[in-house]
Amino acid sequence: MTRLRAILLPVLVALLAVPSTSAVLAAPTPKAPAVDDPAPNQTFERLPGFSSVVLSHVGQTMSLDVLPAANGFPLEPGLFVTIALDRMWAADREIATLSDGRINDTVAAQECGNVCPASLYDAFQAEWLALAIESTQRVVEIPGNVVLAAHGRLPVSTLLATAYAVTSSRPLRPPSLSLVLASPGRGLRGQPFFVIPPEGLRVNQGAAALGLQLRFGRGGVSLSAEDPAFNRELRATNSSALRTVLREVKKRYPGKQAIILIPDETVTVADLAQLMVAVRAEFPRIVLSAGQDLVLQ
Amino acid sequence: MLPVVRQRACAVTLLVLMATAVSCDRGRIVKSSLPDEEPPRRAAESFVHCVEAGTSDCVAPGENHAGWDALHLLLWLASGSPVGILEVLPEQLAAHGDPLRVQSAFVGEVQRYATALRGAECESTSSQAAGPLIEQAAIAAKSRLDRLGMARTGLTKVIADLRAEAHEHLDGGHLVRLDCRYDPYRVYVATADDDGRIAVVGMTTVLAPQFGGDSPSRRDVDVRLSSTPLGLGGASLPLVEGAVNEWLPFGVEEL
Repeated sequence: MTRLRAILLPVLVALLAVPSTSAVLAAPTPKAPAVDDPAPNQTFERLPGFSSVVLSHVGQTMSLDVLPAANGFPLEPGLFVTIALDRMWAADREIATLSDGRINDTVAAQECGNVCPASLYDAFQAEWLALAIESTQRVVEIPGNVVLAAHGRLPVSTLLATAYAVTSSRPLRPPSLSLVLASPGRGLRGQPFFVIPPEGLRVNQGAAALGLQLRFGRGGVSLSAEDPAFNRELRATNSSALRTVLREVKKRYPGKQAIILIPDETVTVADLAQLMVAVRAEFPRIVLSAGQDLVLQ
Repeated sequence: MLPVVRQRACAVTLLVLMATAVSCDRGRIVKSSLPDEEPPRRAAESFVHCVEAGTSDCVAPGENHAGWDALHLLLWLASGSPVGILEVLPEQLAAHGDPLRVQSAFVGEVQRYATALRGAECESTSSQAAGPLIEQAAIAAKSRLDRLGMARTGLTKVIADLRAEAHEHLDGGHLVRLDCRYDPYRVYVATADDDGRIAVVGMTTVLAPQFGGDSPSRRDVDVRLSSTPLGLGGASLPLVEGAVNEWLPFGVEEL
């Protein structure tokens, strides 16, 4: 103990605080040791950053080359989920097996509006429990962020099912989500996104919501809005045309920041990442949908 | 007077008969009122009964809890969340160096589960020797932190020191598992052996399967997530003002 204390003394001196727990169950407590023990050296250096840890894990489980390549934002620390084409991990714990990027379990969980498999929901709920227990033992917050590192060829439907499983199962409130990207020369970056509530979304018309929705697949994209005043469907078959369409819509609705992306079965994670980058320039609040209803009432 | 005398005479006769019966049955093992389990399990059950009873001295102040704390840190490094380790490891190691804080953490854990344990109907089901568990945890922690690219920062030395410290104080001790009918479902109680005297030095409600714990059932997870000790049941964080809902925490006018 003395040896360890000596090694950690610099850290201890910086962080030592008065214990907050009142020892109600205990009789007189032992005398605290003197903190002037000799500290001949300090072997404990700075811990690596969160991105480095994700990088190590992704590098070992599926290679960095397979991540979608695009620019994004710094990764916020949180629970990281890695989805290869054959397996899935919550942090570094394997929680599911996949077949060519598809989840084998066909039983849906009611808790996530039947848009995620029950086995995945259970696995993430157990993960949140472990994190909740850890938060009490180690005085650390339950992570409010989830970063998803997915193989570029993974079907987006699998990414969505995973996002719903991890989001629906978190106690208190859904976490913030981010898709991990390999950014050339900048390491790992993230594209933040939201998911529409599992049961769909109803918004009062008085809220003046536009409800912009972009359906996309290998055949192109089509843009529509739930607000009857929008009254049209815009199409684009390449990214340049899409940017033009989005700019026009933004001109008409400058206050709108959100867009709902509804991918079809042909879309991969790499396709989604490219679309996110293209869309974010005009609509930074990116919301993914598994096709649930959006109703303005 | 006569009835009293008669009663005394009967009582003496009865005692003589009982003594005779015992002396004739010397080879028989008389069942003790204490549980039959081995001493660590008995100590663990006594400890839980003490917590259930709400008495004030379940955590003995004179015990050295550092050995368990060292093992618990190793188990955390081997199976805890990487983001948690990144965020609070320095603070946790600093706390480990202070016996007062180590004991307070143990007391806090006991307090957290005291009410739940009262009706949980826990019973010891097995125990494992602490020595091999310490080795297993140290090896797993080292290997895991290597894999995650965290070991190169000097943590290898920290793991080695925690391992040595855990062995010093906990060798000869045990980790006793208690299965409970209700929340928290599993309790693991650490005991130390001090020259034949068994003392309880730590407690946790979770142990990774790789160290002899098990994965909780769906029902257990559901119940625990809404249980009082974790403080999450019914709690809800305030929504951002004007937000669509908790899934879309931005202004509805942006939609």
